[in-house]
Order: sequence, then structure tokens, then C-alpha cells
Amino acid sequence: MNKFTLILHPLLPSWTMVIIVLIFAFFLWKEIKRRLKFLAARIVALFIIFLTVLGLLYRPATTKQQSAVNHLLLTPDYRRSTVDSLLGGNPKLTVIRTTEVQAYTTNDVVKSPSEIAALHHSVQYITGQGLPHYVLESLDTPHFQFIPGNVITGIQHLAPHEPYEANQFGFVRGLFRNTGNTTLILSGPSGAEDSVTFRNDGPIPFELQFYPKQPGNFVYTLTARNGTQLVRERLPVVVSASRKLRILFLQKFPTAETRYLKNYLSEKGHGVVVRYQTSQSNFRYEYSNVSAVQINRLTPTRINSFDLIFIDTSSLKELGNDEASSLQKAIQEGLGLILLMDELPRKGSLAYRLLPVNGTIASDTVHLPLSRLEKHTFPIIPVALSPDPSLNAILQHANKILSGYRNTGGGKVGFQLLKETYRRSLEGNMEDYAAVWAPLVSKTARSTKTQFQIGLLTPFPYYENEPINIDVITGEQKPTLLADSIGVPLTEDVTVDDYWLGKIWARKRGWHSLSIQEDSTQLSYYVSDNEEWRSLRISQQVQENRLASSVHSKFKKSTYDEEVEVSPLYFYILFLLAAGFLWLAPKI
Amino acid sequence: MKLSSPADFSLLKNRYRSLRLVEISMLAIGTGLLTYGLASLWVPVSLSKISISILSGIVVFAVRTVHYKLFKLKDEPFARYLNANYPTLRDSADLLLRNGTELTALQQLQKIETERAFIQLYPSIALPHHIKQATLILVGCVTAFFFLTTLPISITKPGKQLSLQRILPAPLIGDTSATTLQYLSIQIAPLSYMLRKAYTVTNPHLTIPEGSSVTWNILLSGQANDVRLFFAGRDSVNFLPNVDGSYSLQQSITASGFYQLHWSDPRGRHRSDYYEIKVTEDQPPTVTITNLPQFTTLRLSDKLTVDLTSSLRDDYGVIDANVIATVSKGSGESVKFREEKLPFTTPTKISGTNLRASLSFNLLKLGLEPGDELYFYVQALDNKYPTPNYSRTETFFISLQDTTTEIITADAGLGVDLMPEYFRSQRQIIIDTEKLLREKRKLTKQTFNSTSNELGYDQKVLRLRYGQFLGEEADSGIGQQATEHTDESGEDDKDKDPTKEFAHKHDTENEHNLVDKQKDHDHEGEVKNPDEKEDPLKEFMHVHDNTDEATFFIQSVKAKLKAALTLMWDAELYLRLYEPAKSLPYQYKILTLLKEISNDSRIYVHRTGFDPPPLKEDKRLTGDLMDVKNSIQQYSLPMDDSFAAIREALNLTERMLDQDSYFLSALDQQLLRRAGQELATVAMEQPGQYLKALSLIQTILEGKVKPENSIATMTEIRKAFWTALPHTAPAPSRLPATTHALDQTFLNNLEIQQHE
Repeated sequence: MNKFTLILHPLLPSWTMVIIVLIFAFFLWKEIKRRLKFLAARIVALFIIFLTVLGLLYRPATTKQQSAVNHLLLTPDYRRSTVDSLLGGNPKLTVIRTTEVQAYTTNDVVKSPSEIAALHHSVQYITGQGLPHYVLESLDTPHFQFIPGNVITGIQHLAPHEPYEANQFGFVRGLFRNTGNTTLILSGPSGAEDSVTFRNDGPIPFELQFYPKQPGNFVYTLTARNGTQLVRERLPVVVSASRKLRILFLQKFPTAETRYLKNYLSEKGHGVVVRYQTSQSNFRYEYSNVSAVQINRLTPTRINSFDLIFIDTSSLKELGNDEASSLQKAIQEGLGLILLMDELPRKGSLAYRLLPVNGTIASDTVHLPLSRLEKHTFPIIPVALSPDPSLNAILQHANKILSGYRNTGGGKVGFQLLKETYRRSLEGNMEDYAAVWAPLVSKTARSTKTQFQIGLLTPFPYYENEPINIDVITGEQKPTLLADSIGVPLTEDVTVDDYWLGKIWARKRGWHSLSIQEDSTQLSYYVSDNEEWRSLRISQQVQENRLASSVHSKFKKSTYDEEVEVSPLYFYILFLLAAGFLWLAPKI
Repeated sequence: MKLSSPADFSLLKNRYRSLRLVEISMLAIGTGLLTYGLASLWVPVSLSKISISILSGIVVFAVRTVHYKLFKLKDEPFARYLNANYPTLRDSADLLLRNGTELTALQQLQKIETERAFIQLYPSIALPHHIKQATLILVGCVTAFFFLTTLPISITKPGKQLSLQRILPAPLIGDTSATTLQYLSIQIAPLSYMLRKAYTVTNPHLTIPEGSSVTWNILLSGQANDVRLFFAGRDSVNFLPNVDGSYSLQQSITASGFYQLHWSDPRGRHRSDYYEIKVTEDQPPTVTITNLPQFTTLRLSDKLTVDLTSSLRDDYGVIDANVIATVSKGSGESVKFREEKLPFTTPTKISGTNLRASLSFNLLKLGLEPGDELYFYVQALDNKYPTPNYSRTETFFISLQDTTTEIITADAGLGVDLMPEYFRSQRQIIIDTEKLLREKRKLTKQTFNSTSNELGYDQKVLRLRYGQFLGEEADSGIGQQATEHTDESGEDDKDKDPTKEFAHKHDTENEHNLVDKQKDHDHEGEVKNPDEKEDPLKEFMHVHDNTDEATFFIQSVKAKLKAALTLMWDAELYLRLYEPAKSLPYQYKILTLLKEISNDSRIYVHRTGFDPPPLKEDKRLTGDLMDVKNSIQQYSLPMDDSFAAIREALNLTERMLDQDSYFLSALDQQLLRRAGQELATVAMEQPGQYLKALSLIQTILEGKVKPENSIATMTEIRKAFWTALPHTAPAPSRLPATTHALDQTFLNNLEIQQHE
């Protein structure tokens, strides 16, 4: 059915029409008042002038139904056989491609990327690498069916990572599609850090380890060597400095374990307060890297000045009711607590409420491989922990959790079942000692509350002049985002409060930063060379195209409406004729 | 022209003298030039070269002048010369020398005639000379001079030129207008005691013996001032200028490190590369005893002379070595020691870098008696001055066995008699066994067997008692008594299956049973109490009061006692098999071991502990804690911010490499300089690893890096910085988290769900 609809593309705001009508009315009145012939003809001419002026200013257009021309879009790396079979099944398809894509026949229609974006409603099939994410985003409702092209080898996926911590092993994990014998080498500032050789074909997950000694932004290199063929990719590595904690030890009596733990934490610059009970009312205090404050009682202010409390079960048992409740409240609000079990928590006790245990187990030792390959034998506290979804393991061995924490409100209650870990420290094996304690302390302690968090929605890699989507999570404050000191407009999410979205265009190769003007929150990102990370980019693009096409896999439309604007030339000619008649009329 | 004869001759003499002077001067100049040219081969300093060559010229001049007697010319030789060469004078030239009054009329006539002829002849007289030859020689010498001086270094000093290229940084060689290092020689004089000659090297990287005196001689291409040598980038010492324009500096070097040369010229300050100094320390002597085992046991009947050969080695020489011998006598609290210092017999004087010294001990002369022990070791001193290095061997032991004396001690101080009576029983069993064997023929088989079996029983009792003594009463005493009892009752019961008796598990697995009693005991315990579970913690408990450990013996004594017990099983076995002859060797061994055990008891003299006075019961647990205050200890540990500049500079190099721009602002230069200083401290320990980076930092700071080398230079520096940073253990850190209102809502809901 041919349906006529008029659409206006006004040059002026619509209220101006009132003025035009008033002016017309004025001229109409003047025309009627003129004592001349051809009154009717003059009024008609005036009407024509009025209408043509409207036509010139408001630009009417009509819609016209067009039968759809279905396109087959070729993107790089398409398979000729795919195109052959598609054209065999649907001979009416028009093949379109961009200039950089290898020609299928000499008759292909060559379009620029922006033209392809405009044609999205008629594209039925896309084959090859697909459209880049920013073109996909510009399509309102994609209707195409995506058929991936040739599979390319190389890094297919890189696991996203938080900034690495200085002086802690960092890992680069990903997926590599291999053919033949390929060695993947990770090199840092001092040369090769780790490498892996793939001998089987197909996608293989990999993990490479490195040790960042220094906070800062570094560019490591991932080199894939296959025979004489070398592929070098620059891998940006952000290493953050460690943030200091304030830690309180509450102990009934000193033990070697806490003594060495305290020394280790103090040496790393954390503020540590240790309190041992020497008699009923006397305590021994040790303060390192903090000013001395007496802690005879646990008051809410005292507790909240610490990020982590180590407490043994006997000290916990002797806490007063108000002390216990302020401690629990502090944990709910984010405090970390590590329970040192010198006796098994009894049912009903505070220790049991913090960390429910399920009786004892038979085994009392564990042979655990730590940072080095050798295994260490530790005595353990033979405790069975109640299965609980809020329980997070940090050290685990043969399905047995050895250390971990339990989420309790906003805070955490940690536990360490390994005993005599100080022996590792005595042996001078600080790395293994740290491997036992550092993750537990970091993960259990109160986390730093930041007002803003910047995230990159577009996955790595980023290229010059391509858009990157950003999200910002804030705590009730409107953020001002700066990309390399240039403001970025943000829009708040319609459904989720305090969730902001924005888009930036990556500039030249190298490090760039996103920062929030309101505080010191900063995010560094690296813009890669256009030639780098080819395999990763293509596999991500293929994945995105697949996801976009899977929503509407069937192409149904055979016709579509096209807008046809009425040429202003007609209005102009009519205007001239009518105006000419009005000019001539007195002279006739 | 009227000429008088003597005047004529004086003119002639003058002419001759001038000719000869020209000739001699040419020779002298030639010799001087040749000397200069040749001297440049060996003498680097120009002033001395000039003096040598002038001297040689003067010598040649003087020699030739004297040879020709130029300043004492006489007339007669001229007359002779004229007569010989010019016949127109008719051999009458000498008449010209005489006065007219002395001459005869004829002579006067002839003189007039001759004078006339002489006047005619005078202009054409050719006097003898070697100007032609001298000219040739001069030309030759001038050629040689130019040859030797214009191509001097490439031809005359190939070795030095090579080192010159190696030691000079490239930009310095290229920059011709700046003052550069022309020549460097280093003289190394090891300390006098090392007995090494001083030597000269041109390689600026030095490997020298500890304490050597090092003299640097350098020659710069132009005028320079403030010439210094920097040690390890910190301490600097000024060079002293020499008269010949070179500079020298002498230093005594005791520690490894590196150095650098600095000098200034009007164009600015220049620095050489960094050069390594490796100091080889004087090692202490190596002393070994080659021909003796560490423990030797001798019997009184053996040859009581011990030959000791020791090998002594040192890098610079041993000056003294001797044997320290200690004789230990007596037992229990009456143990006595006597120490003696014995010189080696051959060689009588110890000196040299590698020698073998020997000594013969006569144990009897040293006063050793049966049961005594000799401890000795060899010590040696090397020739290091002022404090010699000392080293010694392990202590060696020679013991003279005592098999005859009975030692009975009951040390009151020890409280426990370590020498109980049963120690004599083994000897008794041996005597009885020997007696049984001697009387074998006289005895019936039954009596023999019965006696042998009885001896076996005695052996068993002895074993049980020793087991008790070892603290094994629970195992081999009480515990096993029950099982052993059947054996004892079976002693009389001859009908009992003998195989069963001899196949007793202790006989076959005696060692296992004895050494690992605990295990056996556990096994038995398990059979007795099947309900009793094995304690899983037991393996990890630190158990006190272990019967196995709670003895008065230290490990070695215990091991010996266990060995003795094992042998007792064997001795008993053969006695019970009616083969006392086979049993005897075991019994002898047991006796030896028991003797040793009793001798070892000397050690326990030192083991008497402190016995505190008893507490007054009424004072216990009555402490008043009123005045006891809280103890407070406060300290601050300095954070590990070592190598702050290196850490900062690492970010700088990273940024430069990433942005590919290598411009250094004044601040960056300052930072890089500080980082270089920090790196220098690391380089002190491992110079080889970081010297290259240090040189590169310096080149960068001086702006002498070519643009095409920037990336490589910066990468190398970054690598050195990164490597220099210490590898520290991971530190815990406070993790960041965002507080979104939804987080709190989520947690609250989670809590509610959990409580439901």
C-alpha cells in the first residue's frame, strides 16, 4: 500500500509560522484594499507566494516505499567459498565492500565506511572480520547475519587486569591460537621475564609471570616467535604503589607467629600496634610506624582508626559486651578482622558467630607449594569450616581451605589455619612467608573508599582516532571527567543512579590518562599502534559481530520507506511567477 | 798581490778549518736528528728527546773537531800536502816557512821562485774535506728523522695505540679540538712481601693484588688543568703534573671498585669511560694432612711412631707452620691436658708457596700411655704484612687403646655412676668362652653345649642390662621380658624345636629391632590395645620424656652402645648355636666398644648444671603488681625507599622510550645524575654489570649520544636501573573499593537473606 505522508524539515522554529501567517494576513488585507482589477487572481497569487515561502522555509518531504536491495558486505579476511554459496542461494544480493577489502568480482560496489553505516538496514549478510565496535554501535537495530571469515593465529584474548602491585608477582593470562611451534616471550625493562612454547595447534590458554619492582606505567613486550617470524606487541603494564594499613594486634600472650608477622608488617611500612596482656590489668604495647595510643578498651573511635585487627580467640572471649558489639558493628561497616585460633571457637561464642566452624578434622599437616616450586610442610589447625557462600578461600589445598575470609556486612573476617609459618621467615625465605600472609592481609583489611571509579567499557587494545567507551561510578557526586586535561561530557544512566557513561577518542600512541577533577582518581590507558595487536583486535571484533547478529538472525524486510524531499526550485519558480503577476497586475 | 808565506799559510789554514767545520756541523746535525728520531721509539717525553739529540750532536762535533785538531793546526802538514800534490812548487813549499836570513842564496832564489809559483797556484789549491759524504749523511738522517717522527705512533707503538683506541670514548677521538687522552700507562707495584716485580700495563681495566701501589701516567693532547682520578664516582685525587707535560698519580689500592679520569680544558670538562679495578685478595694458606685418617686407634703393641705429612700452600708464601699437639690423660674429673708446639722436622725452615712438611711423632716420647689420646692439628701463617693470614687443619685424633686397665669411677659431682659393675661382665664372658674352647676336648659334647648355652644366657642378661642402661627398660627390659621369658625357660627344655629357637625374630632381624625399638614397641602396643587409635598429632608434637632420648648419653655414646647391643645379639646367637669360636670375634668387638664408651665418659665432667637454691614456699604467688606499669615500646622502621633516584629515573627512561623523545631538561639531567650516583654504589659490588650503563649515563649527560643510538642507550640504562633494584618480598596493601549506594543495599539484603 502506497501511503502518503508529509514530513517537514524546517529551517526555522515552528512558532515562526505564526509571524508568517500574520504577515500574510496583513498583505491580504492590503491587497483587498487596493482598488485594482483581478482581485481573485491577485488573492490566488498571494496565496501561492505564501505557500512557496512556507515551502522554502519549512522544506516538506514525502515518503516513498522502495523495494529493498539486499546487500552482502565483505569485510577483510572473508572466505570466497562463503560468498559463492551465499550468492548461489540468493542471486539478488548486491556485493558491497570497502576499498581495503580484496575484491570479489570487478562489479562490487565500493563504499566508504560511513556509507556502509548508512546502509545498515539493507545489509543482509556480513562476512569476514565484521564491523568495528564503533560502527556496530551506530546501527540502531542490526538485522544482518554474520559469517566469520578465515581464522587468524596469534593472541585471541587477554584477560583484563587491575593495576599490578609493586613487589608482587603479576600474571598475563590469555588465549593463543597456535599453528606449528610458537614461543611466546614476555619481556620487561630488564629483558625476558617469562616464556611459553606452544606445540599443539588450536587455541591454548597461557599464563606468563613477571615481577614488577617499581610502581609506574611500563611498556612490556609480548613477542610471538614462530621460526623466523616474529610478532612483537607492546603490552602496557600499570603498577601501583602499595597503600599503607593501620593494624592492631590484640593478644593474650606473645607468640612467635605474631612476633614475626608484626616485624614483617612493620618492615613493609604499615602502622602496627601490638597489645599483649601481661596481667589482669596490665598490657604491653608495641607501636611501630604509628604514634603511641593506649588501648585499654575497644571504643568505636579506636576501632575505626584501624583497618585490620588481629585477635586471638582468648582475647576475643574476654571482650566486654559493649566492646564486642562495637567490634561487630565496625566489621559491618568495613573493618577487617583476622581471627587467630588458639582454641576452637565454641558454639554461641563471639568467635563462633564471626567464623562458624564445623568441628575438627583428622589431618593436621599440609604439604603446600608456595611461590617457589618446592613444597612446604605446615602444621595446621584441624578445623572444618562450615560451608558458606560468603566464605572466600585465599590459600587452598586439595579442596581444603587453609586461609581465607568471610564477608560480614561491609567488612571481612579472615582466618589462617596454617601454623608455624614464621619458620619460613626464620629460614630467610621471605617470599614464601609473604605468599602466606600478604594476600590474606590485603584482602581482609578495610579497603580504601574512593568516591569515584573510572572504567573502560571498550576492551584493550585502543587505537588512534577510535572511540573508547567509559563508565564512571560515583558516590552521589556528579563527576567531571578529564581526558588528558580535556573535559569529557558524561551522561547518567537512565536506570542506575550515579552511573555515568562517556566516550572519548583515543589520541596518538602512548600513555594517556583519565582523571576526575574532584579528587585524585586517575586511570591510565595505552593507545597502541594501528599495526599492533591485530589478532586480538580481530578476534574481539568477530566476537562482537557474532553477538550483534545473533539477536536478529533472520532478515525479513523486503521493502522500506524512503524520504523524498520536494525540491525548493519548484517553490522558487512559483514564487517568481506569482510575485511577477502581482507586479504586473497594476500595469495591465 | 804580495803574500808573505806564513800569512799565506794562515789563510790556507782558515780555509781548511771552515771546510772542516761545515763538514762536522753537517754530521752533528744529522746525528742529532737521527738520535731524535730513534729516541721517539722509546722515550715519550719530548724534552728528554731533544736533550739526548743535542747531546749526541755535540759529542759528534767535539769528536770530529778533536780528530781534525782544527784549533791546533800546524804549518808543516800544509807544506807537506802542497809538496805532495802540487809539483809546480818543486817540493819547496817548506822554504816558504823559513826566514830569508837563514837561507842560502840558492835557497833564497828557490824560495822566490816557489813564492811566485805559490801565488799563482793559491786560488786553485784544493784542501782535503768530506763535505760531500757529510751532505749525503745529513740528507739520509733528515729523511730518517721525518720518517720516524711523522708516522711515529702507528709504527712505533702498535700495542699502545690499540689500547688508546679502546680506552678513549668515541666522541673524544672525533673531537679533535678538545684535549684528549693521548697515552695512558699504569704501573702496578705489588706489596713487597708478595715478592712480585712491578709491571706496567696499558689496559685501564686493572686486576691487581691487594694493597698494590698503582701509578697512573697519562699524557693529554693539549693544555689541561684540574686533572683528577675519581674512585667509585666519589673520592677524587688530583694528578700531579710532570716536567715533561704528562701527569701522574700514585695510589695504594686495597678494595675493588672502579675509576674514571676527569680533566678540564677551555672547551669544558672531559671524562673518560669507567674502568674496573679488581683486587685479588691474599688468600690464607691451605693446610692439609695427607697421610693420616682423622681418627687413629693404636694398640700398645703397634709401632708407636706416627709420620705426619702435611701439604702447605699459599699464593705468596708460607713463612711459618707447626703442629699443635695436645695429650689428654686420665678420666672422669682427673682428666689432664698438655699442649705442645712441635716444629716440622723436614724442612727445618718453612718458606715457599707450595711445600710438603713432615714430622714424626714418637707417642711414647710425648708421654702417651694406654688409654690416653693425642689431639693435634697443623697451623700455618703466610707472609702477609702486617697481619699474616692464619689457617689450620681440623683436629686429628690418635688414641692409644687401653684394654687392660679397669676404670672404676663414681663421680660424686655427677650424681650418677656411669661405670656400673656389668661393664666387667663382657670380659668375664670372653674369659669363660676362651676357657670353654681350650677345654673343648676334655668335655663331653653335652657339657660343652650346655656351657655354651649358659654363656649365651649370660650374654643375654648382659644385653638386657645394657638395654636398661640405655634407657630402654620399657622395650628390651620389661616389655620384652615377657616374650624373652620363654627363651629362658626353654633353656632347660632341650626338646624344644631348635630351629624355632634360633629362628627367633631377634636373631634374624636383631639390628632392626634394636635400632628401631620405638617402632617395634608401637606395633606391640597396637596389638595389645586394638581400640587405641594412633594419635595423628604425634608426628608433629615435640615430645619430651622420650625414653629413647632421656639418657645420660650424648648421641655418639648412644650409637656405640646400640652397636654393642647389636653385636651382643650375634655373640649370643653363636653361643646358643654351640659355636663359641664364632661368637668370640663379636665379643672382642663388644669389649672394644664398651671400653670406648667408658673413655668417652670424660666429656660429662663439663656437664654439671647450675643448681638453684630452693624457693621459699611462703613467698610464691604473692607478687604485688600495683606498681607494675604498662610496658610501652615504640619504634619506627625506615621504609624501604632505597634507590629513590633510580626508581624515579626508571619512570623517566620509560617515558622517554615510550614517547621516543630523548630531550633531557635540567631537572631530568639532575635526576639522571643522582640515579647514576646510586648506580655507582651498586657498581662497587658488581662493577662488570653496571659500568657500561654508568658510561652511557655520562655520555647522555654530556649530550654526546648520537640520535640513532638513543633508543639502544636508553634501553641499556633502563635495564641497568631495573636490575639494580632489589628483589623484595611482596607487601600487603590496602585495596581500593568504590562506595556506591547499591553496594551497601546489596550487603544489607545479603545479611537479611542469611539471617532468614
